[in-house]
Amino acid sequence: MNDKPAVLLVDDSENDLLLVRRAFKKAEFDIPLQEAQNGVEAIDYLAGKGHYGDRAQFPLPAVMLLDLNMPMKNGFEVLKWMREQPGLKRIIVIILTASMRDEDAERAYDQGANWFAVKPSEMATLIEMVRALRDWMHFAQFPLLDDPAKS
Amino acid sequence: MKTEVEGILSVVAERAFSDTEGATRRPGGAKRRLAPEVEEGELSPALRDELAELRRFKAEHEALVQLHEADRRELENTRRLQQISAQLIEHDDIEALYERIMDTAVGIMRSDFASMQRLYPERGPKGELKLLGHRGFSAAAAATWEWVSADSNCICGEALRTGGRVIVPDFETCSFVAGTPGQAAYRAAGIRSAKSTLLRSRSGKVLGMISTHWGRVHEPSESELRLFDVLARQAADLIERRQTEEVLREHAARTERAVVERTAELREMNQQLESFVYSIAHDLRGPLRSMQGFSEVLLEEVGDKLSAEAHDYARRINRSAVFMDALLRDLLVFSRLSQQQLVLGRVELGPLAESVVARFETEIRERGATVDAAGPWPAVIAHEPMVGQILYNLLSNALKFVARDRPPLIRLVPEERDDCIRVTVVDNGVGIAPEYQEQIFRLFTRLHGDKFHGTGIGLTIVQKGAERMGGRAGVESAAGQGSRFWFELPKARRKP
Repeated sequence: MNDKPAVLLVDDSENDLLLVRRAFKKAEFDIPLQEAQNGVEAIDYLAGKGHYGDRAQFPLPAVMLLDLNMPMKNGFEVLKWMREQPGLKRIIVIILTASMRDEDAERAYDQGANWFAVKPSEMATLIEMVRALRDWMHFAQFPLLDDPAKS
Repeated sequence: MKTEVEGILSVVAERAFSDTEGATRRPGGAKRRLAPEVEEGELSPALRDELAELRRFKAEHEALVQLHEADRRELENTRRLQQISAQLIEHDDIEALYERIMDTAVGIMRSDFASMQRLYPERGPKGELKLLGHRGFSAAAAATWEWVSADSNCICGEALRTGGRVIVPDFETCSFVAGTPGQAAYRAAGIRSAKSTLLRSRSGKVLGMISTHWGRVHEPSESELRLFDVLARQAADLIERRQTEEVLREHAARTERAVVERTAELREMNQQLESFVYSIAHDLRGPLRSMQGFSEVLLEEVGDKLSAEAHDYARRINRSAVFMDALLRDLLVFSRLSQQQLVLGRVELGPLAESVVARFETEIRERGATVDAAGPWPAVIAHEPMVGQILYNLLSNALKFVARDRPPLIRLVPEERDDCIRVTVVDNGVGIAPEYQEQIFRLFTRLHGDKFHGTGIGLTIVQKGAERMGGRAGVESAAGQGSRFWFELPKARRKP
């Protein structure tokens, strides 16, 4: 597997994208952080559709940070689609959402999410969270993926 | 001669003393000849006197027997009435009540037929009577008299016209029936005489009519009529009561239905409102996160390049965003509190209290606070996350509402009561004056303005949460003397 596994961040809020990107920087998490702004884009990215087929620029992520409440296709739909793709079903999916609903967490886990976290309001907490992710990823062994763009 | 006389006397005596049954069955018996073989003129004057005396004696006796019989019947009828009164009161079903009344009417009047009608006063000038039930009517008769008005050529029509009791000893000679189609109807039904009584309740309301009919020419006796009037009055009262009860019952059922529907509606509306509050609070947190995040970034990244004034403004923006976020978070918890299904089970308070205290670790350290939650802790019946929330809110308040220069001193004290566990959070904070102690549990009530950052939701969550788990919450405090906030929850059985 790649030395530096990519992380795909899927969120429709530009501000949140910006803040998470900053938190990555502050946490000194030096990793290719990819972005998609809604569910459809995320699926296109993962499927390698169109310009996403260029895996040098858009590498298949080992970990995906997925927002739930998004236009076009929401997080649950992306998750469901991913878990049905033989090549992508093992991608680590972290739900990063504003939802505090227990039902949402339950549903996400039921559909195969690996982690469920509520977006912190404080920058410091967000940075702490990214640091935890960084440390965890440092020790994790990631599964081999079968890139649909290459088959 | 002597033997003859003795023979006559014995016959007379026998008739007089043994044939009491016969006396009532054959009222004309006394007028019959004493003995066919003896002519009265053949007797001596002395014997004639004796015979006359015996006749008087016999007549007196027969009168007595009849009186006795009348008494017996009256007694029996009275008993019947008493019995029916008891039964009428017990009977729950109004139809069964009508049946019982008609049976009793037949019994009292010794009639061949009986009928009962209900008055519908709104139909026509004097209303119309509808047949409720009958005894002995043919199907054709029941159909003929199903509806009767004041114009009908029948006894009930007459009773309705005159508004009183009507007795017809013989329909063949009855002024308002003879020669009308009514006469044919009575003939076809095999009815020759009848009596109708209005069912008038104590309150004076006419409810209907009760009638008895005979196949022969007949006139009821005074005592029968008297008894029958008692029955009719009782029946009327009972029917009125039953009808009122039925109306009430129907009304109650309707009210009940309306309440159920309205409750469902309100519940639905409430749920919509709560889910609306949830969505609002949820959606508002998004932009707020940006305000909070970017003001932090601003302060951190370029803080040193900002003027002291700009720095202060940025801090104010940040603080307001932080506060509003706390407000929305509490609001979310609160709205979830009412929507959430609570699963009650055994909750060990010890580990829970420990984990809640641990969440304040930083704050406790920074404030130099002491929190004693040593226990020993019992178990309660509750929804664990909710108890955690309650403990969290109370501990957060205990830490928050203490003068800045004073290290908070907090004790979490469990206490076993009769059927519940009371947990008291004792603090050395600013305390609450008695007049505010009720109001602080209300939503959005804050006593301290900007001095302490409260959202005014925390204690409402505590109280509502405790109540939803079958417990309660309250406070004992005096201004400046610290507070003792407590909540009570049902005790869990000891582990075997």
